[in-house]
Formats: sequence, C-alpha cells, structure tokens
Amino acid sequence: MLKRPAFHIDLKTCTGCKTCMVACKDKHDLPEGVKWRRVTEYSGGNWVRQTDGTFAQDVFGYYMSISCNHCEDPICVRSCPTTAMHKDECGIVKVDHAKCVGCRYCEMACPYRAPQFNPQIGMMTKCDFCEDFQLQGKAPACVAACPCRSLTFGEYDELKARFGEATTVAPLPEPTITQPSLVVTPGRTAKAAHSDRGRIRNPEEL
Amino acid sequence: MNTAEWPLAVFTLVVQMAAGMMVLSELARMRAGAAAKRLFAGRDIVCFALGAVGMLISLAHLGNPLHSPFTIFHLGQSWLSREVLCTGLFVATLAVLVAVRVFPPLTRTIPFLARLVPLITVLSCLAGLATVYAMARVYMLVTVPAWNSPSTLLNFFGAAFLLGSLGIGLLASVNWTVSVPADEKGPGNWVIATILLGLALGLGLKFAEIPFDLLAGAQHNARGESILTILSDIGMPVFALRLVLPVLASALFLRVLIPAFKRDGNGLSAPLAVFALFFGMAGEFLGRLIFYSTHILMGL
Ligand code: SF4
Ligand code: SF4
Repeated sequence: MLKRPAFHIDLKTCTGCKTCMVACKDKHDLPEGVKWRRVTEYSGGNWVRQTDGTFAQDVFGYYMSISCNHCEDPICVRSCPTTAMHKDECGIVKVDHAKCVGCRYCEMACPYRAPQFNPQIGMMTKCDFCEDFQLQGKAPACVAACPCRSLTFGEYDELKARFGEATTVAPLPEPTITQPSLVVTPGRTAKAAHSDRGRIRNPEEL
Repeated sequence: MNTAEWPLAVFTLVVQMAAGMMVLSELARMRAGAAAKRLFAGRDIVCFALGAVGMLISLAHLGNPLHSPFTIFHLGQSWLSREVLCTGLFVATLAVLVAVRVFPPLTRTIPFLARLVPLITVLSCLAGLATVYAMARVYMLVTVPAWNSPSTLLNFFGAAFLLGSLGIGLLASVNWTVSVPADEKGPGNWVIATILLGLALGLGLKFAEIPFDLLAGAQHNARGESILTILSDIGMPVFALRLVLPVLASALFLRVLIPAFKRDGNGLSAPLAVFALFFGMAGEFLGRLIFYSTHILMGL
C-alpha cells in the first residue's frame, strides 16, 4: 500500500469525457446524486482590445476531474464532530460508518466537495481510493477507465518528482487550506487559482 | 431559499433565545432583587423547554441520529463537537434549576443543592454565552468566506439578545398580568432598563452586521455565487421583510416597555409583547434561512 496516496491529473490531455465519473459510480454502485469523482467544466474569455485598436477573443476552457485528494491536513477530518472522518494508516481519508451521525459538516467544509451524502444510509460517503483494488495490485477504477490516460495515481512525492507540483490552478482552492495529495499538469490556457477569468459551467453535474 | 435547513434554524434560534433570556434576566435580577424574581417566575422552565426542544429538533437535521452520542468525540478540533458539549451543559444546568423549582423536596433531601442554585444559575448563563459563541464558530469556516467573518458572531449574539429581551419581556408581562395585584408597585425600572438594554444591544449587533455582509456581498466563488446573487434569487421583498420584522418587533416592544417605564414599572402589556416576540422570531427565522442559503463554498 502507498504511504501518501495521490492522484495526478493532466489538464493538457483531459477531454472532459467523464468516463472516470461513470467508472467510479459503477465500481462503487453509487446511488443517484452521489458522485465520488466529478468533472468540472471551467471556461471563460472575452473580446480583448489589441494595441492596433482591433479586437481578438481570448476564450478558454478546460476540465478538472477531482475526487477526494486524501489531503495531508484535511478540513473534513478537522471539522467532523464524531471522528468518523479520519485518515487511516495508509493515508486514505475514510468515513467510519459505525460513528458517522450524518451531520454533513464535512460536506459543508470541504472545498473540493468530496464528501457525498448518501440519503439511503443517512451517512456520508466518499472516495476510498479503491482500496480493495489497490490490495489486489490494481489501479483505482477512475484511473483504469480514463481513455486519454489523463489520470495517474501513486505516491505523492513520486508523482511530484515525475510531473512537477502545480496544484494552484483555477478553480481549485488555495492548497494551503488542506494540503491536497494532488498533482496537476496545467494546460496551455490554465488560469491561476485566484483567477477571476472563468466560471464553473456545470454546477448541476457536480 | 435553503428551507431544508429549518431544523438548524429553529435549533440555533431557540437556544440563542434561551441564552439571551437567562443572561438578561440575571442582570436585571442583580439590580432589582425580589421584584424581578416574581416577574421572572417560570423562567428556568421556559428556557429549559426552549433548549430541550431545540436539541430535539436539531436531531431532524441528522441522517443518523442514533450516532449522536459520538458528536462530542472531537472536542480538540471540531467546533461542532464543542457546540454540542456547550449546548448539553447549558440544557443540563437548566434541567437542575427546573428540578429544584419543580420538586422543592429535592433541596430538603440534598440541602447543599439550595446553596448551589445561585452558582448553577451563573454557570447556566456562562454556558449559554459559550453556546452562542461555539455556534457562531461552527459556521466560521475558512472555506466559506461569507461566513468566516465577524458578521456571524454579530448575527448570532444579536439574535440571542434581541430574542432574549423579547422573550424575557413577554414572560415579565405575562407574570405581571397574571399574578401581580393591581395596587402593587411595579417591578421597578431596573428590570425594564435591562430589557431595553438587551433589545438595543440585539438590534445594534444585527445592524452592525450589515457592513460586513456588504463587504462580503460582492465576493463570488468559481460558480459565480455571491451574497448578492443569492439575495436576488431569494427576492428583494423577502430580504426587505427580514429587515422590517425585527424593527417592527422592537417598535411594538417599546410600546410595551416605555409606558411601563414612565409608570415606574407598572402595567406591562402581555398581548403586545406576544406580537413583538412573534414578529421578532419570524424575522430571525427568515434571516437564519437566508444565512444558510449563503453557504458560498470556495473552490469547486
Ligand atoms: S478533498 Fe475534502 S474530503 Fe478529501 S481529504 Fe481533502 S478535505 Fe477531506
Ligand atoms: S457527516 Fe459523518 S463524517 Fe461528515 S462530519 Fe458529520 S459525522 Fe463526520
């Protein structure tokens, strides 16, 4: 098992096909409305006046596939009143259903919207990094399903060494809040985390 | 508007009201002595009922209420755990006060209990204030900038003093109407002055909150949600009603308090006080639902 399990997302190659979302839902048999992995469509742009007085457009758009980042300083764990939300010895942030009271406070606090309430059981659920697959030496369902090979998983430090650290891409929040185990390869049009240039266009899907 | 959070709106408001009632009535009692005691008869039962009903209603918000005993497991880090503990202590101290009043033989069986009543009352007031503080801190999340500001503290303490003064004013006027003989001297102006002070403080805190809300108003997240967009979705008439109701409640309440003040505390009008509390509670309930609607999460 990994010590600090992390995901890498390559924004250059992700086409926003959402196969990862579907594979996750299928593998974990998630009910309607519960999405452990979500693909955000982020876009913006406008007409920009050039020095010669003409106008050109700077329209951009890219996709961001995010599940839980199994953060180093997870705000969900800090907030949870029951300690049901915890980080296990393998670095996976999990919900202990023997304790979860279904208060949804973790959901209220996580800026990645990773905790997903399951009304059928009245408790919180979330990405478990496909722990069972990992034990069998297999990749998480989302990583295995991605047709563009945009998702990778592995040890955080190794992913960082391989792909470089760039987790401050809009619309991700400031990484100092939770220290996510996430490595992002930005695309050509990626905007900085605090950028006000774009908007999330598919909130209903997230 | 986020009406799904009605159990949390009711829970926070009634517990805040109970805390405000306890603190204001104790302040009044410290100056007015025995006169205040009769006017505040039944206070512990009313506050206990508010706290207990609030806690029960809060269970409706939980997906799995059977696990609620675990909610005090994370006192070291979670403000929600601290809120649960403070509320529990507040209601527990009120339960002891009620037990002493309802079963006087209790103090004969356990004599030191009677001597402890003043201390338990002070503890109850402190637990009430701590509960209001912890409640506000629950929502001051670093990932929700609109809530992570002094406005949440002003909002919650404002509600405690506004509803607390209306609540204790109603109790005093009912007790005055029901049990004080017409020829008896009024409760003295200390009681009325303290209730008035509570009302002014509550309303003042509520209006002090507005600049902070305006400052946060234009900030939006990556989804384009801001306090302004949410208010425009809710509709300006609802927001205007939310602002008008506490002012209306306060104006009605002044109609109860000012004439009585002029008569050195005589003749608190109960029917008017009922309307004042009704309008005050309606305004705060609407305000709390609007508050829950402004959960503007940063990030995704
Ligand atoms: S992404 Fe959210 S739910 Fe996952 S560990 Fe980080 S704070 Fe917790
Ligand atoms: S919903 Fe469950 S996991 Fe989330 S904060 Fe509440 S008790 Fe913790």
